[in-house]
Amino acid sequence: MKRYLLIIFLFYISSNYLQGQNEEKYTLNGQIADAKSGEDLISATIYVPKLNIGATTNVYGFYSLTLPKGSYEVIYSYVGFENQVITLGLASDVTKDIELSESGSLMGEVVISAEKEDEDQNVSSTEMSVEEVSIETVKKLPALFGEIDIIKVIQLLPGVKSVGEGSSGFYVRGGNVDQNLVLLDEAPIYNASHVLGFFSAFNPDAIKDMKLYKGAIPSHFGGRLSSVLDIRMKEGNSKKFAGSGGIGTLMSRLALEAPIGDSGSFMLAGRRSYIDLVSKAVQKLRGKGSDDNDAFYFYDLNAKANYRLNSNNRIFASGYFGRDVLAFNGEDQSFRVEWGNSTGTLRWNHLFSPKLFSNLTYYYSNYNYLLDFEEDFARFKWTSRLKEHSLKFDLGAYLNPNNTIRFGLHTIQHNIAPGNIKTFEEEVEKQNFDIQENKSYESAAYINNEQVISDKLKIDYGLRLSMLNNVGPQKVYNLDENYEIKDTTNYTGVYNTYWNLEPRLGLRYALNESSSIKASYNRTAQYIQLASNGNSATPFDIWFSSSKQVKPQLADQVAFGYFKNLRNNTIEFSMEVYYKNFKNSIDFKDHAQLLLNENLEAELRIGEARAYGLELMLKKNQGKFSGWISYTLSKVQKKIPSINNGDWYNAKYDKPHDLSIVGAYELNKRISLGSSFIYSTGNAVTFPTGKYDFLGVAVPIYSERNAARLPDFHRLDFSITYRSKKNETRRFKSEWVLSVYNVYNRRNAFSIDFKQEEANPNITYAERTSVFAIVPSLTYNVKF
Amino acid sequence: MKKLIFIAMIFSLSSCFMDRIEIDLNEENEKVVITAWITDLDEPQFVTVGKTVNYLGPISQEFVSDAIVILSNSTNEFILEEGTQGKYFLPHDWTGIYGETYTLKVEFENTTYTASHTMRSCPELLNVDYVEYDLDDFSDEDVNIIDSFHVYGTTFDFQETPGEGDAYYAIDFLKGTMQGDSMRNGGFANDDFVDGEYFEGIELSEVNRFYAIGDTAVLEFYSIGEESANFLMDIESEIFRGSPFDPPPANVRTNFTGGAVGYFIISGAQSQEIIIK
Repeated sequence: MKRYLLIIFLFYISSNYLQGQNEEKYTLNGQIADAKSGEDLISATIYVPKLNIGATTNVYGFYSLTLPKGSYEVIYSYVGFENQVITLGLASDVTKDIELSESGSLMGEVVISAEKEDEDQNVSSTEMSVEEVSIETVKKLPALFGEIDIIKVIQLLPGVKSVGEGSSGFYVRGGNVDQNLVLLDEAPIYNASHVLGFFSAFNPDAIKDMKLYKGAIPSHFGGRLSSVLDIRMKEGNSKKFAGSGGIGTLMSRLALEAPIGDSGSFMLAGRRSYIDLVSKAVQKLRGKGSDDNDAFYFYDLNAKANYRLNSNNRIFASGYFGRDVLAFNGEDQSFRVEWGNSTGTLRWNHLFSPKLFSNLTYYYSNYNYLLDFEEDFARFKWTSRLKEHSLKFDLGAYLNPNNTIRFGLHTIQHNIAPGNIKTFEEEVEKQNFDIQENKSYESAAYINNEQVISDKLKIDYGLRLSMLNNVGPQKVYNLDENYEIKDTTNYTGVYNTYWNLEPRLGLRYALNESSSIKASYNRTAQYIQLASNGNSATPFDIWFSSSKQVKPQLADQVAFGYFKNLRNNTIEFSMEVYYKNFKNSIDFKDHAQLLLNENLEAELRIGEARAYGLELMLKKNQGKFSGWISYTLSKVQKKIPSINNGDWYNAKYDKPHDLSIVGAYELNKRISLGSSFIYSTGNAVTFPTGKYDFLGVAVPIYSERNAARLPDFHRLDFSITYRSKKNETRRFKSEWVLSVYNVYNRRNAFSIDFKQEEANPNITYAERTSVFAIVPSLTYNVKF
Repeated sequence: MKKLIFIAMIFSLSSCFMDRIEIDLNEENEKVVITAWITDLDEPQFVTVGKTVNYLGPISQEFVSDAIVILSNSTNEFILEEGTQGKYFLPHDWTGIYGETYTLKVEFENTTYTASHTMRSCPELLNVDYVEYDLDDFSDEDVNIIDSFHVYGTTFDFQETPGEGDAYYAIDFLKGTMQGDSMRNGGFANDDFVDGEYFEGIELSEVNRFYAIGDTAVLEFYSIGEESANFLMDIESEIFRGSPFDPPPANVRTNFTGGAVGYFIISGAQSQEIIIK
């Protein structure tokens, strides 16, 4: 049956293609860029009114549109930019690079998605369960400590939930944090945060674009069950030397960009926190000294360069390096903790023909941490790392206006060193405990076609074949049904293989010009996951791959949606419902020991999970006032044998109600206001239902896992931005941003724990931990 | 402006806090609790049988009478006699045998609960001594509760028994009082990474239970095995919660069958006294 389906599919594709050959057709292709900076514009629109067809640029700003021979008016547009209309006679293939200029009337407005006033992509595209937030929007909203954070804005979108107050971790449609693929210029970032999760790893001055896929994940993405956050760095200004930066409460940042000759550009951006410097100053004010070697800071660097070799070839090199450092030096004791990501990406865009675009990517990603503890003459050093090399080849075939095929190959080498411990006495190595390294190859081939069937019906269908190979040398513990070691086997070479077919389908049916219904289905497979059992992920959590005893996790998601645009597409409404089923879902046994455990697999418990929900979004894209209201009603549950007596239980991130109200208002050219309000049900938690005494301590008894709730969470944030009057006449532009986080000083519970009174251990009480009260902050930003 | 930035910094850095709150908890049907830590120390050895209580109520356990409690090994069986309510005592002439596996059987309200544990010999306590603490090492808050300029803590050495799977529990307290005799003040460890090593100068005391000159400190050391250490570790992870990175709360393990909670440990133990001079 599958064979017949494949034959029908190929026949359909080829007939469609051949049908197009009967007419004389030519291809219009090129790049669309920002006239001011030269930055490629992603998802800019090319529209041919005469034929009522169009196309959008890909992530490299490339477009291709094949049309019958003739004369056409072509409209190029991008949100916040002036449209450009050209008339051309198409009698041969034409390459037309376009530069669009920012629209003066739209300057400073909050732009939520890349759509122009008369665009209706919310309604017309097959894409659903996709969220885009422009960097300009992020910059307009209030931020914790005044530090702009793209992840915190993503948390305000429907279907996305925060890990906890102030945290940059997020859950998407019932998926755990490790089920989000976070890509920075195609390289995965394995720990996308600084300061134990309070700030994301992404410097807003270095970011050009981001897109979150919550469902209907295109087949060129894979490896995670729940979402893909695709973040692209700026290419750098190819017109002139430019820069931006800011001085904030906790950190400062600076980004510089400039052209490289006539055909390239670069961008360099860095941030450094000064929590340690402030802390030392506070200590001095209190009359206490501190060691100069004490440290608590983070920094990150983004760099990118691109160069166009000729009209058919362009190369890119980009990298990210981030590090957190915490160190203390006492007389008899000292410790140092470090963790960080580094990535490097090389890309080569090549145009085989005006209709066939290709990109070859190599990336390297590394996440590692170090814990170094020294007391008297004894020293303990613990290191761990995850390293990846990957090669990816993507092709985009713009067959005709009705069919755009993407296909490609991808392979990743995962290399995980879960932990190495060395002990020293008087600097002489005494012991070396090494948890064996784990190596695996994750590969995939994919194909996808976006096809216009009729004016009303458009479909996007694809297939991804993914595979994991575990590679030796590897000692594998074989476990019995009680998770006890039965025996061990030593393997060399490829000793275990999994493969999965992952169909992807998106469908749009236009009800009328301003509304449509959409449906999607996708299967995703995940072969590498995080061993994290806490309320928040720690820098010391380790990743582990699927293996002989840990099958890949799978998720099937179906979603239906209704999309409606109002007032000439300036207001968008969407309603989506989804159901997601997880197979081989992972949880951990009670009191699991996840760190430095040679036999980690014995700590895992495998079962199933389900998530379903309703998401509503109403947003206003343009005008003096812009913003959105999003509401999510959802449920996430797990069922794992040996946990909760094998019954369904709430996932810790199950928060049924989630409401965000976000707004920005341009009071005038110099002052703008931003505000957000968040309400959500409290996290699912487990509270004790009884206790007994053992050696003077109250040992709690629990019943159902995650059956209780923390109190509801709500918070109001506010910001005001003031721009200097001189900005209008000078190149150097500056602004002050006053942000107030948690305006009405609500003490939201991060956790509730139970303690015995020290003076009277007979009394047990509940203690609430709140992370932040009201937090005002001031930031000074510059741009030149 | 500089002043404003400084105020904002101070304000921001001091914004994390904890406070005591009132909360209603669900109550579950009570469960039978059996706790037993039997040693070869020269003191009464007993087993307690009781029921769980409301979590936010007093810790005092509800002990129960009329349980039948039997301790047996491969050759003998001892019936424990109830002393005070819920406390069931072994005969005074009972002696443990190292390497022997003991089974504790409790019959109560038509249900039988059993647990087994192997008795291990305990390494000798060596070089029991004391050290004076430097008050500079303590926080201002801790120093405020110390009413002496000279405070001491106990130390000892021991030779770890070769062969993996051992674990130890140690505690010290002021002789003649129950001060400090709580699991919160004890310490435990297994022999992972340190099998067969000799340990010197192990310190147990903490600032809130220091010794002064003239005090007699009692130091006790138990060989409990890895499984019991895991039980203590479960308890520790439950009672010292509060970090955002804590694992989910979970019931501590029990080695009783039949649905009871609690634990049965039988261990070789050592005890020594030292006078602080």
